[in-house]
Amino acid sequence: MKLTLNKFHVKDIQFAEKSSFEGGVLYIDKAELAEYLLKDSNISSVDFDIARPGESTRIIPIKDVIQPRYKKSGTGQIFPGFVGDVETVGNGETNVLEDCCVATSGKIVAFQEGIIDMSGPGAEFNSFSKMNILVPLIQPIEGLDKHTHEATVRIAGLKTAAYMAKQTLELEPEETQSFEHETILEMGVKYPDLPKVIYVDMVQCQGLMHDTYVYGLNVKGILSTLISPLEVFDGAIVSGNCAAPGHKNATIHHENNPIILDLLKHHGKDICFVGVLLSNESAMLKEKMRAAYYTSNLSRIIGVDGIIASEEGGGNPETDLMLNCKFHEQKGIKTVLVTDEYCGRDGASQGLADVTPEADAVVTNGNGNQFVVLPKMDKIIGDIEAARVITGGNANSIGDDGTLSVEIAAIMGSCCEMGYEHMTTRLR
Amino acid sequence: MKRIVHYINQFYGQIGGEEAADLKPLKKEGPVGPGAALNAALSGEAEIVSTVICGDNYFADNGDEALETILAMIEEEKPDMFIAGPGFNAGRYGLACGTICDAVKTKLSIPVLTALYPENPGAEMFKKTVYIIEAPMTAAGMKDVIPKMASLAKKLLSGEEIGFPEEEGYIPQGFRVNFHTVQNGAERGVDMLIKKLKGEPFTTELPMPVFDRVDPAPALKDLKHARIALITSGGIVPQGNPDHIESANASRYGIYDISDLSYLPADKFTSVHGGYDPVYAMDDPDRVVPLDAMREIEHEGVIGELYDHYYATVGNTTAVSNAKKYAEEIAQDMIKNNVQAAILTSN
Amino acid sequence: MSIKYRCISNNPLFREKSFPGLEYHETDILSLFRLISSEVASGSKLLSHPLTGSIRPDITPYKTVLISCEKGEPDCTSVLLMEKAIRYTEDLYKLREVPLYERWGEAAKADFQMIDYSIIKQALEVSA
Repeated sequence: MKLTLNKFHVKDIQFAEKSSFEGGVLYIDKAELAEYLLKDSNISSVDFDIARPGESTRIIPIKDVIQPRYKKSGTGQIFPGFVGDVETVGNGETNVLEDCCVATSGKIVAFQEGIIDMSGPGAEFNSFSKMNILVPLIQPIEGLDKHTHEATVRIAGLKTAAYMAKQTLELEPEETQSFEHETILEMGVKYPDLPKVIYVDMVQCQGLMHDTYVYGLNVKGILSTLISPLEVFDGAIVSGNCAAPGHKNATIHHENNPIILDLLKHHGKDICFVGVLLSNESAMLKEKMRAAYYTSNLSRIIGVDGIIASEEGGGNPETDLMLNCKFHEQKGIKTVLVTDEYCGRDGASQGLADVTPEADAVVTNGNGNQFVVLPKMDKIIGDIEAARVITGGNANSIGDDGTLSVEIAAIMGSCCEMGYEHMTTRLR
Repeated sequence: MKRIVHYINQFYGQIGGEEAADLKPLKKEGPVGPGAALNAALSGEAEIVSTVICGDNYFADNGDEALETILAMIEEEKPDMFIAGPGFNAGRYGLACGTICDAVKTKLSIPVLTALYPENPGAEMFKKTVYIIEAPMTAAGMKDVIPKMASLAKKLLSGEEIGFPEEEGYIPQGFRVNFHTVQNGAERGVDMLIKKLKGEPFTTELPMPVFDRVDPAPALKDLKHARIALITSGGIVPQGNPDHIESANASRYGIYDISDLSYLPADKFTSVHGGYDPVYAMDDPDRVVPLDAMREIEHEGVIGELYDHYYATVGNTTAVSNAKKYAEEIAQDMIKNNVQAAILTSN
Repeated sequence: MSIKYRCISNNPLFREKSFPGLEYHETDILSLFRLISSEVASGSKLLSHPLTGSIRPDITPYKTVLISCEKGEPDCTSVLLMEKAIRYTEDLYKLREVPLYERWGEAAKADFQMIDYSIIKQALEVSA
């Protein structure tokens, strides 16, 4: 399969009479986009706001972050199961808006966190602060239950992202990037001497605000399954996970899965990157065991020499991560784990909820318990009350001057467990 | 120029060896012994104005009193910094270095520094609160340690930011701090996997806690004819503590006769353990060393017999390496005395 | 159908819904975990992971854990998992002078209850 990403770099987003992409500026006709979103009868009203790098702006609470993409050619359409139908994606051409994202905001539950600061110390903890961000503010109809509310906001975000990228459909890209990925049997013939590697992508599927969708299917209760890396680039995996912003895998992380991107860079050179095994993180212990046994057995059936596994969230997912490590290593399959830590304010605690001696190769993406003081911002997009509520509604955590003392775990994507950011911890 | 007070023991203070270990604290002007080299390495940015010297045993045996005297001697000098050692792998000296550094830091609020071998109990106890340069086991490594001490001392004095252990040479204090990297986490992970696949060395970013697991010995086939011994790390010893087992960081263990006893009477046995409230143990030492219960099952014939001595030490902050050494010796003694199994109680 | 689990919870929503197998305790998560730990030590098996969901035990006031009805020899995995969960929770409780879970208003509490409830319901749907 071959997929080409046509890249358009967004220097600014502006509201205009007519939606278009011109000279690096994405113009958005609010009325047209609103009309598109309001086709969902669960939405009573929608408004939009823009946040730009360097501005004194805070977006809170954020549910999901999505990179605008739209398929120009090939089968299926972006975000299959939501925007596109369920036809297979991952081939042809896909237009991508770089340096740009959609951040869905709005209050679904009372305590929700997820901060993006466009400037100041908070901006140093994620890449989103360096992007031009369109924020749809979705007002649901009255009496909508929380599950439907979450789904409504999720789908509106995906539609917004697709709408934005669609503006480039007739344009020549500034840059293209092509990926080719053979069938597994072809790889075996083509790279007989390279070590075979699988990426185990653990996704959370545990209930309200804790779910992940593949081709629109909530993957709770599935047996581990195989997916092509190129399908993932076309939005085959969508996040419905709204808790723990510092280390949840947002849709943009899936679309740009950094582990897949790096494995593809090495593919055919020093490793043979066979594909991606999707494995869910259940709340039940038997499911966790089943998933790890099943995943490690799939790796064995395929004939893999090594895996790299990433988790989503913290606490119980560490058990899945450690089981995957243990069972793969027991089968002689070399394993690397990607995680983050909650090792306390001073970094002296044991930062994982579960450990195993086989885990001798672990990448950490930071300590989510580090506290950071976020200065007052001139503009808040989203819900001003959320800023008060995320730190437990304690007046002490908000200074008289409007500063906010939070853990970096409240900052969107700060310790991304796919290794999207450039952070680790060091022992001192 | 910044003023430093230096602490060394009787040996490095050129007063004497073990025979002088009871030396009371004294103070000399300027650098003494290793202080000379340290002073030179400070290259004029700071100087050792005086040196406090104390015998290892005196400090170990006179706890708070010795510490008070030494603290007063240091405070008089109005120093900008305090340095102790290097103490290498000397247990008593290392503990003194760590204890005094920690106390000076708390009481005088000035930077402190020492240098010890990582397994020195002084390092294990104080590395979290005191910067301790990693020293080799013996004084043969003096010339490597002094420049590192001087370099870190200068930074501490100037308030410069202190780097990571690998850069500065101190023993990791156990704090994991966020650090921005050039490569993203995914690239680091894939590189690690490629190295692991090739069998090349790699460094995990998050070492797992040390799993020091001991496989259990096979079960006894015949309990009814077995000779069983009691061991405790809970510090139960005969009144008067005949072997002078320390209440913390024990440097020895004892073997005590219980052949004529059916329980441990409170007027004959006591607890010297410094790490728990000993009231209940002193009230009835069988609560820690269950001689009474063992005699009962011995009488019932559940076990063959109870070995007529028990082994005791104090587990409180005792270095694992020392505990291992005692265990090896105790095991040998048991084998010699035909003991087939043992029950180990803590506190 | 007979119920094959005991549902140990400090989430009042389970009580409101008269959830089958419920053993409700009005206490914090750490105490609830300690209580489960002693059940596990006496031979109950953990069926669900104690740290369900992505909301930390120092943030949400509510967790619900499913354990087996039958008791047997203590299950090593369950015992160790409870130990690790307790240590993890203790460490997180130390983060702030007053842990977050003690600070929420009624609306937030209701949402935490609903999410915890949704997780256990989904767990039972998937793993019958």
